[in-house]
Amino acid sequence: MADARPDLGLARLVPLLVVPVVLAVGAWSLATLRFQTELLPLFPPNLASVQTLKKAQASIASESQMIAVAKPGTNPGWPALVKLAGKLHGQPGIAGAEVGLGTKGSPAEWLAGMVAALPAPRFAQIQQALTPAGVSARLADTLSSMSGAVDEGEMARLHFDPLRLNDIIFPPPGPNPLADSLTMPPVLTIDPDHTLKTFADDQQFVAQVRAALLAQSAGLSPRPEFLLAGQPAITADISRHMKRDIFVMFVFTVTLTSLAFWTVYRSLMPLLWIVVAQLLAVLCAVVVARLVFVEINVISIGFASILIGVGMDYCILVYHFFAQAGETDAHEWRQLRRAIWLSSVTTAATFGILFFSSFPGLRQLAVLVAAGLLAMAFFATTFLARLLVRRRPSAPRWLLPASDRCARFLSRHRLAFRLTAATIVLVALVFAKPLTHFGYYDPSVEQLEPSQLEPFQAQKLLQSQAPQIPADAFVGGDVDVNRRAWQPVDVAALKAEFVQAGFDATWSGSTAEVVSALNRWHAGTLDLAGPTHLTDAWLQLRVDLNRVAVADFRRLSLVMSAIVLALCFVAHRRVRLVALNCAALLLAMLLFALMLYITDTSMTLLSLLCIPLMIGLVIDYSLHILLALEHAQGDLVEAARHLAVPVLLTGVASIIGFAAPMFSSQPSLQNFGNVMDLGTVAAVLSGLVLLPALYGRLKKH
Amino acid sequence: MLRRALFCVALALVPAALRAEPAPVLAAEMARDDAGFAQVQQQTRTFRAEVMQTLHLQGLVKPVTSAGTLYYASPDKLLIRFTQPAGEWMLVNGAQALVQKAGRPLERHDLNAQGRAASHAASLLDFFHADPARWHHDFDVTMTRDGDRLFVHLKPWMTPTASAQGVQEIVTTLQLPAYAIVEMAITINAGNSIDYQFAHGERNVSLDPKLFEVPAP
Repeated sequence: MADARPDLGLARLVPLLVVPVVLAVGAWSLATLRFQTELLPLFPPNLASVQTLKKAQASIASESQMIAVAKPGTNPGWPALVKLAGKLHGQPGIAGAEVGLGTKGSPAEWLAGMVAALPAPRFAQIQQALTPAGVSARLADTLSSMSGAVDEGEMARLHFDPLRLNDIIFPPPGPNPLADSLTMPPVLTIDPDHTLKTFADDQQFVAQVRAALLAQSAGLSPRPEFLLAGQPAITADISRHMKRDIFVMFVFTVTLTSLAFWTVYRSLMPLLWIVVAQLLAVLCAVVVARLVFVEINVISIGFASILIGVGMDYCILVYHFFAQAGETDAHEWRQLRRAIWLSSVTTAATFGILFFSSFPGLRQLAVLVAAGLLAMAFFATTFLARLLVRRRPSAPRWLLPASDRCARFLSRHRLAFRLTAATIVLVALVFAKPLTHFGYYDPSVEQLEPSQLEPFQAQKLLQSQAPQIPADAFVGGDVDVNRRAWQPVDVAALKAEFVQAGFDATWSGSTAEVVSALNRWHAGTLDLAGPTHLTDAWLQLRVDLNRVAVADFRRLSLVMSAIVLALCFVAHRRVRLVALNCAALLLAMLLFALMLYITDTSMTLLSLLCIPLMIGLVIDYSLHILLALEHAQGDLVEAARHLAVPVLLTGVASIIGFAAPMFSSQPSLQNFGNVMDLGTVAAVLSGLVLLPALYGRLKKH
Repeated sequence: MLRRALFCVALALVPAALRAEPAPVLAAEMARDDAGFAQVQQQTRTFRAEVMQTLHLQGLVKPVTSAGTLYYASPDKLLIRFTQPAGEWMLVNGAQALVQKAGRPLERHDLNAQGRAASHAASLLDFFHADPARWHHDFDVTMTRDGDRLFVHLKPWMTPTASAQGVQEIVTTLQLPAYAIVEMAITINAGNSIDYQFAHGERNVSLDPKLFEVPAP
C-alpha cells in the first residue's frame, strides 16, 4: 500500500490553540476549586433523614465553633475548665470559650425536644402532668420519694426534674438520659475572633486553638489532652488530607502507569508526550469540575487517577499503531481514530451511567471521568498523534514474538482454558452456600467516615459520653401532630403550684424552662431538633441509603445490561457472538464474587454501583477481542498482534488507576478503588484469557 | 409602763445570756476523748438503734423525715432499714454500698472505684468504726463540749488523698461519759444536709448475719 501519512487535519493546530487555553483555564480552575469535605452532601439530599441530620448536626455547634473534648482520664472537671475557658479569651485567633456539654441549647430544651417527639399517648401524659392537679400530685409523690433511703444521684435528678417527666418519656426501669446528661464530662466550645472563609482560615484557627490549649492548660491536674471536633477542625483536617491524597494518588498513578509503559515499550520521549496528554486531559476535567460544580467532593478526588488509568488505553493504542513496523496506512488510522472515539464515548457513557445514580458524590465522579475520557481521546488522537507522526516510535523487538508466543500458547491449550472456565462455574455452584452467605454488601454508613481522623475520633468520644437514647422510645411519634396538640402552659401558674407544694424557684426553674421551650415550639419560634432526632435520623439514614443504593444498583445494572446487549447485537449481529459476550460477563462476575470472598471485601453503599460500571468494562474488552478475532478470521495470533498488548497494558493501567484511591485517607474511596480493582482483574482475565478459549473457531497453530 | 416593758425585755434576754455556747475542747482533752470514743467503739461488735432521718434540701420549705432502724456489725457493715417509708434500705458491706428505693432498681456503688463519697452511709460507717488516726488524716477535727454532750466536728481536708470529699462537714453528738452516739448531722453543701437521731441504742446484741447479705446482681 502506498505510504500515506495519516491526515491529522486540525490536529496540527492543537498545540497552538487548544493547549495554551487548557493550561491557562486549568491553572485558574485548580487555584479556585473548593473542597467539599463533608459526608452528608454525598448522599441524596431529598431524603428526610439527610435533611434532619443536617439540621441536627447544626444543633451541636455553629459552623465556626470548635469543640475541645478531653480524652478519658484527662478531664480536669468543670471548675478547672471554667478557669481555662477564661484564660483562652483573647488568645490569638480566639474570641472566647465556654464550658458546656457540647450541644447547643440547654438540657431543658433537650428534654423538651424529647417530649415533642413522643408518641401520642405519652405526649398526652406529659400534658396531664403539667395541669395544676397533675403538678400538685406529682410534687407530692416527689416529696414522698425523697424520704427513706437517700440516693444523691436521684436527688440531683429530682432537683432538675421534680415532676419526673423523664419517667413518662422513658418509663422505669428504662434509661435515664437526663440523669446521664447531668454527669457528662464537660467540654470547651471555642469561638474564633474572625469569620472563617477559606480552608487556610480553618487550618490557622485549629493551629491557634491547639497552641492556646497547650499553653494555658499547663498548670492543670490532670493535664488535659484534647481532641478537637467541630466544623473548622473537620474542614481543616479533611482538606489537608484531600490535598495530600490528590497528590499521592496522582503521583502513584502516573509513576506506575509510566513504569508499565516503559517496561513494555522502552520508549522515553513518547512516554513523556503521553504524560503531557494525560495532564491536559486531567486539566480539562478540573475545568469541568470548576465550572459545573465549583467544588470537588471526597469521592471525586480520585477521578484523576481513575482517568489516567482508564484513559491510558487511547494513548497506548495510538502509540502501538505508530510503533508498528512498516508504513502507516491513512485508512487504518482513520479506522483506529474512529474506534478510539467510539471506545471513549462508550467508556464515558459507562461511567456516565453513574450520573443517573441518586448519590451526588457519584454523579460528580461520573461527569469528571466522562469529561476527562473524552478529552483524553481528543488529545491522544490529535496532540499525541501529531508528535508520533513526526517521530515514529518503534516497538521493542521482543514484543511481537512474545505476543505471538502467548497467543499460540493460549490457542494450543484452549481446552485447558475452557476447563478452567468450567471449573470456575463448578466451584461457584459447589460452594454456592458459603458464597451466597458471604456479606458482599455492607450498608453501614459509619464505615464511610474517615474515623481515623482526629475530628471524627473527637465526635465519637463526645457521642459515647452523651446519654444513649433508645430510638424505639419515639417510634410512632409525630412532631407536627404533637405541636398542634400542645396546650400552652402558664409558666407563672406552674411556679405558683410549686411554691404551694413547698418547692421554691430553684426547684421549678428547670421545669419552667422546659415548658417555656414547648410553648415556643408550639408557637413556631423554636425548632426542637435535639439528640432524639439525631439518633433517629442516623438509624433512618441507614435504612434510606440502603434502599436507595439497592434500587440504584438494580436500575442501573438493568439499564447497562440492556445497553451492552444492544451494543453487542449492533456490533456482531450474531447470536453466537452475543452469547460469548454474555459468557465473558458471567465468568467475570463469578471471578469477581470469588475474589471478594477470598479477600474478605464487602461493597459499601457507594461501591455497590461499581457493578454497572463493571458490566460496561467487561463488555468493552470482550467486544474488542471478539471483533478482532472475527476480523482475523479466528487467527488468535493475528488478533493478538493488534490488541493483546494494548488490552493487557490498558488493564494493568486501569488496575493501577483504581488502586491509587486505596492510598487515600477516605474509607469510601479506598473501598471503591479496591472493588473496582478486583472487578478489573476479573474483566481482564475473563476477556483476555478465558474468552478467546471459548471462541469456537480458533485457527490452529 | 416603760419600766415594765424594759423589765420584760430583760427577763427574755436572761435565758439567752445564761445559755452559753459549747466550749471548745483543748488538745489534751481531745486526745483523751478520741481514745475514749475509739475504745468504746472498738469494743462494740454490733449495734442497733432506732433512727430518725431528716433531710434538709435547699428550696424545700419543710424537711423530709423518715424512720427506721440502724444495724452495725464491726468492722465494715452497716444497714439502715426504713419503716417509714417501708421497704427501703441502705447497706454498706465492705467496699459495696447499696441503696434500695421503692419501685426502683437496686443501686450499687463500688466504694473502691468511686470513693467513699459515693455513699454518705459509708461516712456513717466510718464514724462507727472509729479510727481516730484516719479521721485526723481525712478531716480537720475539732471538738466542743456542752455539759454532758460532746460535739465532734469533722471538716474534710481538700486534698487528693482525702476520702471524705462529697460532704462539707459532719457533726456528731456524743453523750458522755459513755460516748453514746446521739446524733449525726452531715452537711453536703449550703442548704443541703442529712440529720440522723439515734434512740434506744443497744451495743453487742445478737444480729442475724443475713441482714448484711448483699443481694446477687
